[in-house]
Amino acid sequence: MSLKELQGKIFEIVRYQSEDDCKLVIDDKKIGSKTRLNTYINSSYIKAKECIEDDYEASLSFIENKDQLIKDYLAQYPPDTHFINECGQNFLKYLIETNYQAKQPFLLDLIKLEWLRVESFYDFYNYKHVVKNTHQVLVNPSLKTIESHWPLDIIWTNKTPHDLKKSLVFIWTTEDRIVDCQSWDEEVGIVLMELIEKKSLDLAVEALLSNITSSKLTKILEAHLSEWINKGILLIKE
Amino acid sequence: MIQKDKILFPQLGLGLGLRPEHFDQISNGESRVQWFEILTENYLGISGHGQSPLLAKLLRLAEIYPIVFHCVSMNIGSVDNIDLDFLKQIKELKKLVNPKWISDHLCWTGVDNKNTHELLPLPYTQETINHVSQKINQIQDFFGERILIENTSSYITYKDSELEEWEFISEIVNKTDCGILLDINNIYVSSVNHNFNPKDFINNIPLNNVGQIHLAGHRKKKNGLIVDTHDDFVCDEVYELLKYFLTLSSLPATMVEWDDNIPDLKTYEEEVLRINQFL
Repeated sequence: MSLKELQGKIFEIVRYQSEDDCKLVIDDKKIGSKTRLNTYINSSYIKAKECIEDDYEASLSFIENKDQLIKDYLAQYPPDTHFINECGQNFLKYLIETNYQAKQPFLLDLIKLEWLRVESFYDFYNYKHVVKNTHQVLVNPSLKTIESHWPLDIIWTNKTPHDLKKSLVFIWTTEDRIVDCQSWDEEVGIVLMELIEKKSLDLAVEALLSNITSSKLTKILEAHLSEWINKGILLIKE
Repeated sequence: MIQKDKILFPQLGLGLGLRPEHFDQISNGESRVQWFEILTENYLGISGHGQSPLLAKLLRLAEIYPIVFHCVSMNIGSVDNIDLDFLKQIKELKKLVNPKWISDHLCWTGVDNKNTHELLPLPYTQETINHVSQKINQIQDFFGERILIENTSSYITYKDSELEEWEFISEIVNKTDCGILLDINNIYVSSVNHNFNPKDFINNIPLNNVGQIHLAGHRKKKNGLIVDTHDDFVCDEVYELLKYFLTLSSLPATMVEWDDNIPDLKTYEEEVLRINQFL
């Protein structure tokens, strides 16, 4: 058998966790070929499975038979880079492709949120903008947002279902590498979003004043601007 | 092209695997070892996500200690082509850190651009020797220097294998003049799993090309296999095998790997400093 054929067959055994084809490996009296091959099969699977369990901790808590689902997912989408933490990147795609019938209507959004948490963690050092002007808003490069009909941050934290409640969730990684996520009341969220998009306090205020009264905006900024700075979402360059 | 006349590999002394939990203590000068090995992939940038969060700390340590690169993803034994983008990333990191050398494993990790994240053994055949040698030569040409290849621990033997593992390695070294990262724990693990005399391995490899030694802990499973877990102290049998190596050769740069259940720095260092008793 050529090296190419042999590697193709061994890869399929590991990928599909099949123990059937052990003809390639010596079977001795001491330890059988299935046991020997299983060492690789299990180790390869467990590394990726643990990674997915970490990435989708909350989502998986709502899924029955999650072990089988992860096994099927990894057979369909085996890791394709050296960086194993990327192995969960197609999980949502897989569920959509297989028309997964989620019992919880928020599940797919929660999966999106959890993958954004992973991406946020790795984006912390991804600074792209140099601050030159005063009053410019320096946004944490790990910041992500997701809109949903459910309060995803509450569901993620409590790992319990919740009634419909529109949310705009902000996800970011702090300097000590903790991924945080939080939503605020709608108007507060709009102000934060404007600051992030305009990347300037002056421009954000100017735009917001067309929809929010000056006193309301002042109240929101007084109540939340230092909170956002303290939480590491953004900085205002003085 | 690699410089064939260059001294193969400098003797760095006793070293450790650099683990993020020990960064601060090492930076504060609390370490007693002479050099560190990094798992290279942990310090590469992540595609689309910027640099590794560990890089800044590594660069500070690299100003003080010799560093060597240890890779797990070159996939040297795979029938897939060399991943040049991956090698370019290593080259970029190499420019920043200036490691003493680069090593990876004599194994394959996946095919068709899929990755098992396992160090899968190769069949010991002439076809594999030719294939692997050609890839090692390509990698050495890319970096302009010798790399070291590490013998892996293994749990299976292919029916197609025609040679002993040490014959396989020797032939590859003969064809490529690459270095050997001799993992003595892996020799021991494989000798138990495949029932051979570990001294035969050491007796029959080109010792002049051994540039580095790995020691590590392992676990014996209920099914009788020994698994290379890197999560425990080095066992006496492995130290004995190192002593045997020292009857045949001088000690190259030597370190203990510890990747899981990682102890405090002092305990970890004591595992490698034990070697001083044998010298």
